[in-house]
Amino acid sequence: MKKRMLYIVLFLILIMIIGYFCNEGAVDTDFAHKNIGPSFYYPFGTDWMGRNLFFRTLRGLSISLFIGIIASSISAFIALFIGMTAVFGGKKADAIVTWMIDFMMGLPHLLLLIVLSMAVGRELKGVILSIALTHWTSFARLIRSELFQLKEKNYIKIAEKLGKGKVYIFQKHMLVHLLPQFIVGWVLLFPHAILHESSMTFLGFGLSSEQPAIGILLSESMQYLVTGRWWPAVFPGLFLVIIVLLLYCLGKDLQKYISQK
Amino acid sequence: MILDMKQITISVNNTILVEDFFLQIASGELVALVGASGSGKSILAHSIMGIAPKNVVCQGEIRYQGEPLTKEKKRDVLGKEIVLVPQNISYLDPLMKVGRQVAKGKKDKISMEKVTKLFQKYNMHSSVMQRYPHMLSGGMARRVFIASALMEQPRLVIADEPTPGLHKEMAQMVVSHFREMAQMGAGVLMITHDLELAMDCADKIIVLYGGKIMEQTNAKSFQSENTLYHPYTKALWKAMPQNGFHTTSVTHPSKTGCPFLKGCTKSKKECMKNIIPYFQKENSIIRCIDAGGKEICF
Amino acid sequence: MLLEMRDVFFRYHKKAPWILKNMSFSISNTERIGIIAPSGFGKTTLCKLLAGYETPVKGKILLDGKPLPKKGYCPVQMIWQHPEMAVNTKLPMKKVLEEGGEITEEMMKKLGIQKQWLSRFSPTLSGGELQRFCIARALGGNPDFLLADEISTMLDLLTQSQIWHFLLEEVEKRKIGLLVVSHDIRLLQQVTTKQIYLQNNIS
Repeated sequence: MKKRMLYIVLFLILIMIIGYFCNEGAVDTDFAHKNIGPSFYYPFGTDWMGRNLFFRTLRGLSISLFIGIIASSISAFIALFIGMTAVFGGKKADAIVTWMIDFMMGLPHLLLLIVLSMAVGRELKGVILSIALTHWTSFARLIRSELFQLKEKNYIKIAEKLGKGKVYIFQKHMLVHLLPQFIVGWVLLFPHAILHESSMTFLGFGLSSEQPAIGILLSESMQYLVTGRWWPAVFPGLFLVIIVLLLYCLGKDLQKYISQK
Repeated sequence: MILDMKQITISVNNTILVEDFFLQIASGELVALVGASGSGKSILAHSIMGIAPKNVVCQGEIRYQGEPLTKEKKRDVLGKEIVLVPQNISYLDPLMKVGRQVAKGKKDKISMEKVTKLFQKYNMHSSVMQRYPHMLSGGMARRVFIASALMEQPRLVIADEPTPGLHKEMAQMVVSHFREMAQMGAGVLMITHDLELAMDCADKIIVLYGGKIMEQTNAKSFQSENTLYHPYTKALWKAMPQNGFHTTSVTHPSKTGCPFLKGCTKSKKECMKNIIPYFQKENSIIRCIDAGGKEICF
Repeated sequence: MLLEMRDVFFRYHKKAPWILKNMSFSISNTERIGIIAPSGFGKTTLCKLLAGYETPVKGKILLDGKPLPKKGYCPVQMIWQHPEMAVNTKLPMKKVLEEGGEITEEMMKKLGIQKQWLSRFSPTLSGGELQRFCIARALGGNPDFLLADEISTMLDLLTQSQIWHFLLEEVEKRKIGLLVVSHDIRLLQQVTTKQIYLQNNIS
């Protein structure tokens, strides 16, 4: 299991690095070789402007992963901050936080994403911010309940009576329990963030059409699907699914690994 | 003999936990296996029941009603004729109602009636059947285990620490239920750290220390120091609050030779030897070269 | 030094039944008192109140006439019945000990704490082994009072007598008041100078 996790991480890093260097290949147009099916030179085929879909897919995945990392990180830290406020900020803070979480969870997710993205001005900034600002809710709830449980533990109360301060108790006693949970939650936010990025972009509320994001690739491919050109839709779609599944796998493995330890 | 164990050695990764252990339980007998934590008593129960972790190796001879307890045999009798009364509620399914767990998932009329009867017998209201394990108090959980054990007709009951966390009256009540099972003809093995409880209820007491049997004797022998022969059992007796509350400085059994080597005032060179034979004296079997009596072999 | 409980009423919630009603009680730091009470009396609650883990609904807990400190070190320390719940499962035992303050090697030896245990985590140690750490931790900060709530029920006789002899010696030496809660009357007669029998609904 440890090995599998390592392989997944290495694979994802590799895709990010390769994708980063594929930028030129991804936007290069070559009308002499347009609409070619999968072949040796073009493993994923080319699109209506003769762009290499292999490079475009890699680049798209790399962008997705990049957005995923940043958005889920911001989201995770928002969740941590809000969860901690609820637990250490007293009863009122907890009531406010609980209300906020319920309120956010009550709103339709995709709609909220689109509205936020539009408000910030779409593009990379809009996508990252809208995802970061909407994905912390259930994670914050998890952190809050975990911290509340820890707070009631006998050994925490004993530490208090031994004269240890709140900061000491948090660092020494709570962090060792919270950190593994936090990391798992963080990794599990990842696939969510990536899927939402793609769907927003697909619907036209995310990244702009010049960028070879997976969502853009998929929405462009839609027009050609009816004419029997399947490759511009299948390969990017398939790889998106694979990446999301791998991330999910990684999160679950990590969870298992930590719970065993 | 319902259960007859001889020359049992249990080891984990080549570390020996229990060495040269023997145990005989007859029908209607309640045997208490008494030992400090870490003396290897739980692993013994788990080995008999076949629920020990895979890296635990158990060598020796186990006979159940005269026949060797092989893997195939175990499959037939475990849970039916041989039952385990576990330590705590973590052995119950937290998401299943207690009544159904006692019935082992069966829903037919006869089983349900039997469950109801058993609950009545152990003074539990029928509403307890509808509860989930976390809603049980400590004493109630113990009674649920006992009821669960009696769903089949057990020939051998193994109780692993059935009383910690219970106050005295409750513990005695739980133990009286085991006594009852013995009277019904089953053999009962009670594993406990509480010597005083064992003295109250058992027929035979086996004292385990550092994975080795120190002394097997009748429960009555514990009424006086003079009828105990092993220095360790004597030390246990003297450590009881009513017998002077004496203390010894040693807490950890030595790994070679007699486990009580360091705490014993009479230890000699021979006590360092790895193999110390058993001696029989009156009704006791003692593993001490100083005890006198006749050397015996299993 | 005098630890007092004055006319204390206690219950956990407004709708819950009273656990303690009009309870008064005092112990000085040269005394060793044993408490015997029927099950369900709230012996643990009594200890929790005296050690400041809970505050009474009515009445006062006073240490030399002053209330217990709300923050910082509490000079009344409690040793819990279940040591496995009193120790963080994810900290090595060394860190657990350090929390109490300085613990000398002599003390460790007397308590029978082995050096190799220090790097281990609590789930790999037995209840009896953990309880020694809990006792050392409670003594580490030099408390004025110790409350022992059924601390030896899970121990075998030799360990029980060894731990009690150690505790009695320390309590004597450091002038610590000791309150022992147990169901074992004979044990209390051995380790305490005065025994109090509590009945349900004393009010």
